[in-house]
Amino acid sequence: MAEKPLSNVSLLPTQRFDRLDMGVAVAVAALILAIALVLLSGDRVGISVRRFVPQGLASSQSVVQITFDEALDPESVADKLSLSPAAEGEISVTGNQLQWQPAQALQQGQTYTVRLAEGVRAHNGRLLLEAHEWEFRVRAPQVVFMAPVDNPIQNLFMVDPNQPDAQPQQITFSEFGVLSYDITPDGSRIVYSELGDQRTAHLRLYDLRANSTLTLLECPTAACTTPAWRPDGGVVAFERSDLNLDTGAGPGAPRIWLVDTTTGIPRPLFADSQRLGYSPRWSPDGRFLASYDANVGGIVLFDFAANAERLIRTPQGEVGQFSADGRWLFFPKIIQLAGTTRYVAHFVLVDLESELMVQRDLVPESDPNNDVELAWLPDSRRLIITRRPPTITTMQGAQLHLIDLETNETTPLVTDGDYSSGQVAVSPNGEQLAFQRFALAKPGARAEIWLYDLTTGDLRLLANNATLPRWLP
Amino acid sequence: MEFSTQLSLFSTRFLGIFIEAVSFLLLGTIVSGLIEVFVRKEDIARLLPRNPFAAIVAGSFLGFLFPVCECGVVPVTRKLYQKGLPVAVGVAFLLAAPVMNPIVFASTYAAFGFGPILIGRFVITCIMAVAIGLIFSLQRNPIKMLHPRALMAMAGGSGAAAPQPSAPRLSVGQGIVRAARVATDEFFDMGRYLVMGTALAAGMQTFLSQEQIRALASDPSMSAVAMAIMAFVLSICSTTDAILALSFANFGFPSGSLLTFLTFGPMVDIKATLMYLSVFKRRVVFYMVILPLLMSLLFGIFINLNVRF
Repeated sequence: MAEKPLSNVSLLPTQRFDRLDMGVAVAVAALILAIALVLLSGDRVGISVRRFVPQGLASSQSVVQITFDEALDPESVADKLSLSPAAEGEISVTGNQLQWQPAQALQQGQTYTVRLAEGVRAHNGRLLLEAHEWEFRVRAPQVVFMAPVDNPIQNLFMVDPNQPDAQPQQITFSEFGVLSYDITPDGSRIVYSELGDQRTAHLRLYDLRANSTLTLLECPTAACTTPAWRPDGGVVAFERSDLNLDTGAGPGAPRIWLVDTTTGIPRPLFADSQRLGYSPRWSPDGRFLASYDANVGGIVLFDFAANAERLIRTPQGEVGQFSADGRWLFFPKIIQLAGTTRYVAHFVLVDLESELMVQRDLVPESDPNNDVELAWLPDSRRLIITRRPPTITTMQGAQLHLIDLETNETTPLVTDGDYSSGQVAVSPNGEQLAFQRFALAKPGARAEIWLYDLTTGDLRLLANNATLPRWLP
Repeated sequence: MEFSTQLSLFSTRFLGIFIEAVSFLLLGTIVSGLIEVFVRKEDIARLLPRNPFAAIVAGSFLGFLFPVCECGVVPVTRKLYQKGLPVAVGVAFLLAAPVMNPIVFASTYAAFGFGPILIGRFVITCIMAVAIGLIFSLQRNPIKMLHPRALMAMAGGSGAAAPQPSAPRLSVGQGIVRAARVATDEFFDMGRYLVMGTALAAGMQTFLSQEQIRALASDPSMSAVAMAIMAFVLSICSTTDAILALSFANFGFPSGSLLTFLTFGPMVDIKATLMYLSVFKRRVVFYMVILPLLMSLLFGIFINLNVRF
């Protein structure tokens, strides 16, 4: 058998792996080892706190909110949060947010220290590795108002009503002006409608806990106005009027829209775009939203729990306020006084707890007073009524009275024929009124904000050249 | 879900990925055509640093010169190889360019602003591309790494391939006509891989549950793995993936995992992997998948467990 010539045969074994293969193998092994070491060395960061509110000044109703970067295990937080000085409250966990709700109003002027101990656990087992501590001081309720009245561009200001020498503090700095606003029941945020160019209006949020302003909703082709907080602060209802900028047809009739304050996503209240509405008002439990629909000629009461609506017929086109207990809603009606040619306005209360929404006149039809405005006190039993007495002409001023639903007694509070009063805002504890006054006999007079103490009867000026007061709890 | 619904979903996703990617492939092939006509091998040899490390670093920054995403970068790289670009430099360019370019900088800035995600994305991508380029520089023979078709017209940048004489420069008009021809050929050549890759990506998106992958969001190590899988499966173009990453951030994915998504995805996804097969041998493509995967996981897990932004 002939042998193959040796010169054609390689004596070296075939090299199956080259330098690249070896290099990749070493790199892969090193990377796997490094990953294993990183995993073995464990979690050195843990979960972290993204946000804490309130900081600095807070209201007596403030809810403590701590936001983490991961969803929490509710069982791990029970004994980890404490306040100093101690205050009773309820802890709850929603997703990545830990919340403490005070059982009673926090003490005004007191500085509270919130301590969060390490060991709070996320759902995935990661721990909070460091303790945290924050402080906030409880301020007295403030009065917010719009000013200056003699300027087309108005902004929001805030003043401490219990400090006679306190100077109002400007809280918005709008270039084109603020149109309307509303305050959350816990006093943490103010939503306001800010005028933009081409008559647009956008919704902005001022967060008092963080002293920051952000845009809640940009309305580039519409005017978004008259915002109203749902009491839990999760949703704002507002009026949206399309400006028809593309057609030049002018602003359309307003519709009621809602915007989620967490996501910023807006939606109309009704799927039917032809449904009109204005003056949104929330019931205290956030279940109902009242608004006036001129097409159907009445107040539409939308029930979010039942996803249904009820109608209160009234041609007057005004929506009143819910009482604090949610039982009553008022609206005005115009009547002709019997045997005269005189027309006056009276208020009607609607009992929302009754099956048929029974209506009750606040005063007898024969009452010659002309009622202008109404505001509930927190006990849901008494109201502040602004009325023009029959002895003066309708061109003269409205005066403040207290009316008791149980006794039907009316007590005059601020009655001065030289002034017209209105826009009453009742303090959270129901002991003070902030309201607008206008000197009728004074040439060049401008609207002023006054403070009236229901317990002492004291009356004093709070702010000049200002309008639309509201209480910030 | 019914099959007809799934089929409809598949078509929508297929078209979504394809339409997004094909424009970038077209851009890449046009750039490739222009390189073919107006860039000579001498230009490459003159412009690249002689030091291999410096050349690889330069290669990872070439994306600022040729701003293409992962679909467009493959034909450009193939053409640069044919012009004599060293393989390791081309690998660094191929892996880095989909991120290291001004378009992706702008989109990442738009999504996350100037901060740790933007900086981390660029720094980590650069480190990964250079490191992998250095590993590939261990093998200097392109014949052992490149697909025979990619080698066909190759001029001897490495010294191992057959040298080609330099072609004379064409006039601008002639050059553009020739560039268009080359771009057309490249487009249809690479387009096959894009169609196959897109079909695979759309299929996996339709028939695999993404919810289960998202459920891993909260775990610092598994979320990085989940993000790597999502990046591979979703095959989102690097110019737009930052917006998607922002939505993942809202799902609770930690920053390290987002960086895994933002660095691994532009380097390796289903369609890009299939397109790599038109340039590299299978073994090399496997290396180009496994190395970025492990590196991005290492960075992602390390950041999740050790860094607080």
